[in-house]
Amino acid sequence: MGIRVTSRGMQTTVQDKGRTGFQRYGFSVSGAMDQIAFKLANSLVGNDPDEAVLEMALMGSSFIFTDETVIALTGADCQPLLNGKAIDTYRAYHVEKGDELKTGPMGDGIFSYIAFAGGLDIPKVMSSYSTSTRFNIGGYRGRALEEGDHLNFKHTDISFNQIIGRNISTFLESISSGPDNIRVIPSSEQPALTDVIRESFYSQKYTISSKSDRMGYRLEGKRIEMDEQISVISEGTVWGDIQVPPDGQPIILMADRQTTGGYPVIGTVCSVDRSKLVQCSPGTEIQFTQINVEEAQTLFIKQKNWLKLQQERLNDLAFQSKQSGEVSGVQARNKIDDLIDIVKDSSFTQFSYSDKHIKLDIDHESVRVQSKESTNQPEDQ
Amino acid sequence: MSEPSIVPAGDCALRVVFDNKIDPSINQLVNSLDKKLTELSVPGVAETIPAFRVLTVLYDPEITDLGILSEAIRQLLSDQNEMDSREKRVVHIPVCYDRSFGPDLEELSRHSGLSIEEIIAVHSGRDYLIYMMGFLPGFAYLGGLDPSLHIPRLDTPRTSIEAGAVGIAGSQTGMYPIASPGGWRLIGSTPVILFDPNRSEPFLYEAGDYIRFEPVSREVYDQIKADCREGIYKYQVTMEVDGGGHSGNQ
Repeated sequence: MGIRVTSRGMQTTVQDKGRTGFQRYGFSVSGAMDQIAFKLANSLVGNDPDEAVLEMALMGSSFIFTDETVIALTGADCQPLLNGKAIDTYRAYHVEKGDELKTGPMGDGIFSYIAFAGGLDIPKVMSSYSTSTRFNIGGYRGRALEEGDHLNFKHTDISFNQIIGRNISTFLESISSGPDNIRVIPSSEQPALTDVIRESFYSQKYTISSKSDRMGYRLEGKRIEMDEQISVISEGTVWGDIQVPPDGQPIILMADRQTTGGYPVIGTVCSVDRSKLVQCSPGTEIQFTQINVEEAQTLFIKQKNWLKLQQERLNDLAFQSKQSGEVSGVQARNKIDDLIDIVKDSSFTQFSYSDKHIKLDIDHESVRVQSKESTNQPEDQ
Repeated sequence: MSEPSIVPAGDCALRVVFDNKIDPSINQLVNSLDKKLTELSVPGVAETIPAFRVLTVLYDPEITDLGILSEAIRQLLSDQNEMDSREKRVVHIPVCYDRSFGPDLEELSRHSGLSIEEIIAVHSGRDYLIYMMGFLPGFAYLGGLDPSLHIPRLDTPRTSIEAGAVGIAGSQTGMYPIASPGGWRLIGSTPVILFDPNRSEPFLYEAGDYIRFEPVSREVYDQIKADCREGIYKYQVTMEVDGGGHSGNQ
């Protein structure tokens, strides 16, 4: 059992990290538009970060649960209501059979994600859960969800009690470049794109067009005038490529992009700005600035490390997890060391932990570990 | 031929760019480098997209970087001849050139001055190099169509062309792996399933392979189609020495 769709929303699809490995055959990657929000949704409910989730675009769907589970919503704020009561995004909630989840228009972005403890029980097609609506493959019957659809949850061994209430409240700001600034790694060797054209591209603001979709974000701005004589022989595309078609209005290639393209590419959006860009709603004004590959990669790795730290933090804060309930000796010592590291890296000012074996007090000045093993053995006998 | 350039394509990919033209010998360099990168499993390389004159290499910047990977690629390029094989992989595609599948055969006959039998003989009389795949899943950009068969696209594209349709557009011939609208002149149809997402190998061919169209009757077409549906059809793929005969069967 799982979840039944009671209202379809705008376009709600099953997505994961994407269908990689088939671009050489002309098959698009697809996958979650906002890869960070998607991974965090999974981590919040104790899943592998690459489990299938639901992606809702612009206008949320509504659901009735036909089974108990734990859910978390991430990405744009879709104003979720659980049985009529407002709930937070980036927090894991327990839901019972018969509960109703309603989501509405997105407030601060355009893509929201819902993860379910254990994931969705959906067959992988070409190694991925992602829905390709262009080719009607993958996800739930190769299409966006409709009213009445029922999706099953996978069986899971996750203990719901250990994940309920998990949340993420701190976000990495140090890698950001301001809300409307998108950083681009310039292309080289494009005869159609002169220095004058490039200068104009970086000096003006562009508006994201309402004709944008999961394939590409179309931009509206001053027309780029190119020499029509210069044609480009088709070549492989990558996420974030900014194509300049003959009408002079750039298109940024997104998750459902075609695998090859024959328009000149002025540059490629850096990976670290992906989530920010995909969450820009139509009408948003953006400005491009240049970044070099090395700097972009340093920031991207920093972002990935932050993501890993969040995942570890979520997993370790459920301290009495499957294994740790009974750990002892060296294993316990490592566990405590891990916990100390996590607390020091996080924004907590103070942390206390106590169980039948140990009492732990951590603050920014000191760490106090007190073993209870020798003193109070009879307590639990 | 000039030295290829290696340029960044964002922070997770690079492009190896060869001479700016559509030419089998240039494309051979792309495909040869692609095979080496794939076979040697160079650390950090996630995926490659071979095209006419550019190999796009997607990589994980946590494992490698532009400098290290460019150096590895330069090394592979300089070793060019050692691993290069004269063997070509030929994928045999049965085609029924029946009028019902080729509504544009007569127009092509008028345009080319060839009889329909001659068109079939010319079209199936040579192997076509797959320069690149793209546009649709499993769509092959084929090179080498005989100039006598060149014909402009339809003025008004058809709203739907069935999977398996074989056609000509300008100087190119190709097959539709899935149903799609299109302006191609249709001359036949293949009964084989060119793209099946649920097959262990969803695609039958890739860039660098050759396609050989083999004319079949309507009866054979129907039989192959039925066999494909049941999953018992044996796809014909041979490894051949360039210019030589058959050297294996698969």
